[in-house]
Amino acid sequence: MLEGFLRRAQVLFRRKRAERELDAELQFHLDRLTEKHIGEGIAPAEAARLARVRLGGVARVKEDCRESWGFSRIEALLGDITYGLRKLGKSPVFTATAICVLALSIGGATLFFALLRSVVLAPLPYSSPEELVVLSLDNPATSTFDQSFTVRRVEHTRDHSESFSAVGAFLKWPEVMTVSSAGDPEALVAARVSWNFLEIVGTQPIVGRGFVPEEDRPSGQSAAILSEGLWQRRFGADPQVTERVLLLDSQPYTVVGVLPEGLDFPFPEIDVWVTRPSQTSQMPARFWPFVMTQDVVARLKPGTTLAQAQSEMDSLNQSFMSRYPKSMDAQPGVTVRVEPLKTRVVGDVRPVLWILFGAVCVLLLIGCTNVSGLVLTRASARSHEFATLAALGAGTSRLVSRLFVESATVVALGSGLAVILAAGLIRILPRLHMPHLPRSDQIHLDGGVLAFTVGVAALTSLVIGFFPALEVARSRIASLLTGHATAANRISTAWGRRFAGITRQEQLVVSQVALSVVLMFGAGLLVQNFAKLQSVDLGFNPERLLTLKVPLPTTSYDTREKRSVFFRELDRRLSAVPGIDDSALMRSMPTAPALFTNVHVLGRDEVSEREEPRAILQSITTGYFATMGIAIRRGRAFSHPDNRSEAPPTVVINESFARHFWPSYPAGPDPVGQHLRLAFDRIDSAEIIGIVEDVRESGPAEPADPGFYLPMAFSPPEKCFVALRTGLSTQAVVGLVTQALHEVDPTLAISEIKMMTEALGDVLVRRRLATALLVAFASLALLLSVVGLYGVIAQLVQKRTPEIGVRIALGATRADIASMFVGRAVALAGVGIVTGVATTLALGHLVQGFVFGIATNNSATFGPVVSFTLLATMAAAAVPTWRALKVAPATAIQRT
Amino acid sequence: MKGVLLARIDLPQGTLDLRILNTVALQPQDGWGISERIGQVSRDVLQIQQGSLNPALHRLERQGWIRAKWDVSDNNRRAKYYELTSAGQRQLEDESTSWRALSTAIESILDMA
Repeated sequence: MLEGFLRRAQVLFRRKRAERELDAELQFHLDRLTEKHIGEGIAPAEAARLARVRLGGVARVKEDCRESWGFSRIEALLGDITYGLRKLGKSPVFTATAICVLALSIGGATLFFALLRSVVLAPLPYSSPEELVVLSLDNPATSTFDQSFTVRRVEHTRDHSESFSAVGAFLKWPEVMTVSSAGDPEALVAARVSWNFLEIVGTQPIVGRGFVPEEDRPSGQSAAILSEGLWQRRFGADPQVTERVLLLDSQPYTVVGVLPEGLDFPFPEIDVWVTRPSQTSQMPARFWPFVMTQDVVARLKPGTTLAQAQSEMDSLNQSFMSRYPKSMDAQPGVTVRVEPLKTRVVGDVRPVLWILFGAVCVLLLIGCTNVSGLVLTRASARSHEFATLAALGAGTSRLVSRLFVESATVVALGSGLAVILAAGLIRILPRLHMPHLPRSDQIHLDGGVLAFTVGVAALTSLVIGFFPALEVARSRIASLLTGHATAANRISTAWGRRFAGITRQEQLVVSQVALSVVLMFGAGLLVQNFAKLQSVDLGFNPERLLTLKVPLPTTSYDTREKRSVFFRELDRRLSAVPGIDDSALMRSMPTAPALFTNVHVLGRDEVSEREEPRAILQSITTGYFATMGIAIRRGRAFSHPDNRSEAPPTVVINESFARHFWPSYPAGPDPVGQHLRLAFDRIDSAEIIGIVEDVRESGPAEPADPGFYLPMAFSPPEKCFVALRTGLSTQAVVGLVTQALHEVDPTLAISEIKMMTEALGDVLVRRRLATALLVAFASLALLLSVVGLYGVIAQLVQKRTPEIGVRIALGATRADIASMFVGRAVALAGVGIVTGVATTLALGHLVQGFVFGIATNNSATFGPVVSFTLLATMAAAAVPTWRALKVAPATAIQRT
Repeated sequence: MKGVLLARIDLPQGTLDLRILNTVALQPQDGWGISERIGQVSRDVLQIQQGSLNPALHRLERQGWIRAKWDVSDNNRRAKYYELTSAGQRQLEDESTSWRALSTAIESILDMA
C-alpha cells in the first residue's frame, strides 16, 4: 500500500524525466523495428510506417504507459485540489464564512467529545477499575436513595459476601482536622477510610506503606497517610516523614506513608487519610455504631459480574434485616444497590454532558446544512462554469468529484481551525471555576479525539458535497436528455417555487430553522429554570454574608461544657470586633449537608424511635436570625438567657416544621407553647418559643425541610460555622477572626472561608455553565439559520429582479412585492418551526430529568422561541427585498 | 493483489505477463528484445500485440516485479533494459505453478472430450 504510494509519488516528482525516458524507450523500440523491416528488404519509409503500425500508435501506447504509472488519478486529484483552492480564493467571503461556520461547529463537537471522553468515558485511574463497585441503600417506600451503611451492616457484608475480593468503607463526608504540630495550625481535609482502601483501589504509596488491620482497631496506633501535596508543603518532601508523629485535632497520629497526587479517593483534594471510618467528629462517640455514615467500596472477584454481586447482596440484605431488625438501616423496604464506582464518580454530570454533546451535534448538523446551502448557492451560480467544463469533455463523475474535493478542502481547513480552537479552549478550561465537573483536570486532546474529529470532518464533507453534487448530476442528465432542458428546468422550478414545491436550498434552510428551534427550546427551558432557581427565596439574605468553619479537636473539647464555653467566648469576642456588623455561630452552613434527627411532639402517640419523624437540627447562638436575616413569623427569637445550659430548654421551629406537625398551620392550634422531645441532645422537653420562615438549607434547588433551632448551649456541635455580615474584605475578616479565635484558643485554625453568594454560586455553577453554553449554542444556531435564510431569499430576489421590474411597471405596489418574498420566508420558517416544535415535544422526555420543576411542553418557552424565530426570519427576508425594491423598474428589466 | 487477481482472471494478459517475466528471467532485455524473444519462443504462433507490450512492462515495473535500468545496446545506443526482481521471481514461480495447473486442467478436459 505505502510502497505503491511512494512509487507513485516518485513517479509524480520525476514526471518530466519519466516522460523523456518513455520517449527514448519507445523511439529505440521503433528504430529497432524499422531496422528489422529494412533488413527484410522493405523500403525505409515504408519500414518506419510499418513499425509505427506494429507498435500500435505512439500516442496511444504512451497514454497506456502513463495509465499504468498510476499517475493520472493522483494528477486529477491534485488538479481538483488546486482548482478548488483557486476557486475558493476567488470568493473569500464564501470561503471565510464556510470555514468559520465549520470551525465553530466541528470545534464544538471536538471539545465536547474530549470532555465526554475524559470525564465520562475514560476509566478511573485505579487498577482494574471495572472491578470497583460501591454499595448503597435505597428505600423506595420512603423515597430515600443513596443512603449509607451502618458499621454493623458493613461488617455483615464484609464477613458474609463471596462476590468481592475485598470490602472497605469510608466515612461518607470529608472531615476537617486541625494539624497543630510541625508549623502553624492548619485545617486539613481528611478522609476516614478502612485500613484496606489502598488494597481495594490498587494504589501504592510513594513513601512508606499503607495501613495495616491493627490500625483500624481501637487498640492499635492511630496512623495517618499524607497526600503528596501536604508532604511537600508541610514537610519539604522529607523521605523520613514516616517516623514522625502528627498532632491532628490534638491527638497523636503516626505518619506511615505518602500517597501520589491525583488519587482522588474517596474524595478529590484530600490532605490526609486516617483509619476508623465510623469515628466522625460530627457527632458524639455514642452515635458512631448506629448511624448510617459508611459508604462501602468493594472490588469484585475477577469473573464475578455486577448482576451476581447484586443478587448476592439481595440475599445478604434479607439475612441482615432479619438478624438486626432494629438497625437504622434495616427499615422495611430497604434494598441494596451495587453500582460501578465510576457511575458514582461521574453520575451527576453524565446527563448534563450528554445533553450538551447532543446540542453540539445538532449545532454541527446546522453548520453542515448551512455550508451545504452555501455551496449549493455557489454551484447554481457556477452553472456556466460547469457547462463549460462539460462542453470541454468533463464527465458527470468528474464534475461531482470536483465538487466533493472542493467541499472536502473547505472542511479540511475548517477542521484544522476547529482542532486549534478546541485545544485552546481545553487549555483555559481548568481556569474556569468548575467544582462540579469531576476529572476536569484530565481533559485533553488525544488520538481518539482527533480520530473523532477526522471522522466528523469526513462525514461533514460528504454531507456538504452531497446536495450540490446531486443537483449538478441531475441537471447534467436532464440537459443531456432533452435539448430544451434549461428552458424546461427554469419553468418547472419557477412553477415549483410559486407553489408548494420547496427547492433544495429551501429544504436545507427549513431543517436549519427546525434544528435551531429545538436548541432554542432547550436553552429557553434551562434559562427559565435557572432564573427560577436564582429568584428562589432562600429564607435568608446572602448579601455580604461571609461564612467560615472552626473545627474543634474532639480530645481537648471532649465535653459539651467545654464546647459550650468555647462557643460563648468566641461569640462574645466576635461581636466585639469592629467592622463586623453582625455575627453568629451555627452547627451547619446552609448549602452544606445538615443534620437530621428524631423529634417527638409531647402529647402525641408514642412510636418507636426509628419511626419518629426527622427534622434538621440547627444549633445557633442568639444573634443567628438577625445575622442571617431570617424573619420571625410568630413568637420570639432566642435571647442571651436562653443560651445557658441551666436555663429551661427552648426551641424555635421553622414553618415547614409547623406545617408538618400542625397541618392546619398557620390556622388552628398554635405550635408556640407546645413541647418537643429531642433525642439527639437527650432533651426530654423543650418549649417552642417561636416560628421562623423556612430556610433552604440544601441550596436553592432543594425544597426547605422541616427544621428546628436549639441554643448552642443545649446542642454544642463538634465543629461550628461562623456567619458574619460585613463590608470588609475577606482577607481582613480572616485576620480579625483568627485573632479573636486565638484569644480563645491559639491551637485552632479556621477553614472553608466563603462568601455566601459564592457558596450558592457553587451549587448553581453547573446549571449556570450548562445554561450559558446551551444559550450560546442556540444563539449560534439561530444566527446560522437566519444567515441561511437570508442567502436563500437574497438569491430568490436576485433571480426574480427582472420579474419585479415587470410587476412594478405593471402597477404592483412595493408592499405587494415585499409580501411576496417575506411571505415566502415566513412560510419556510413556519414549516421549520412546526417541525422543530414537533421534534422538541418528541425529545421532551430526554430533558425532563435535568430541567426539574418545569414541564418540557412549556408554553412560556414556546411563545418567545416562535415569535423570536419569526421576527429574525422577517428581518432576514426584509433586507434583500428592500434592496431589490430600490432598483428602478427599467434597470431591473434590462438585467434579463 | 490487484495484479495477481487480474493476471488470474484475464487470461491473455496473464499470459503476456508470464511470458515477459519468463523472458527477462533469462537475462536483462530491452522492450524490443523481449518482443522478439517471445516471438521466437512461441514460433510466432502467438503474435505479440506490440501496443500492449510497453504498457505491460511499465505495469510490471510499477508492481515491482521487474526493474529498469539504462544501458548501452549492442549497436551502441542507450536502451532501457528490464530485469527480474526477487519479488518478480516469486511471482513468476507462483504464476507458473498456477498456470501449469490451469493448463493441466484444460488439457485433461480436452483429453476427456
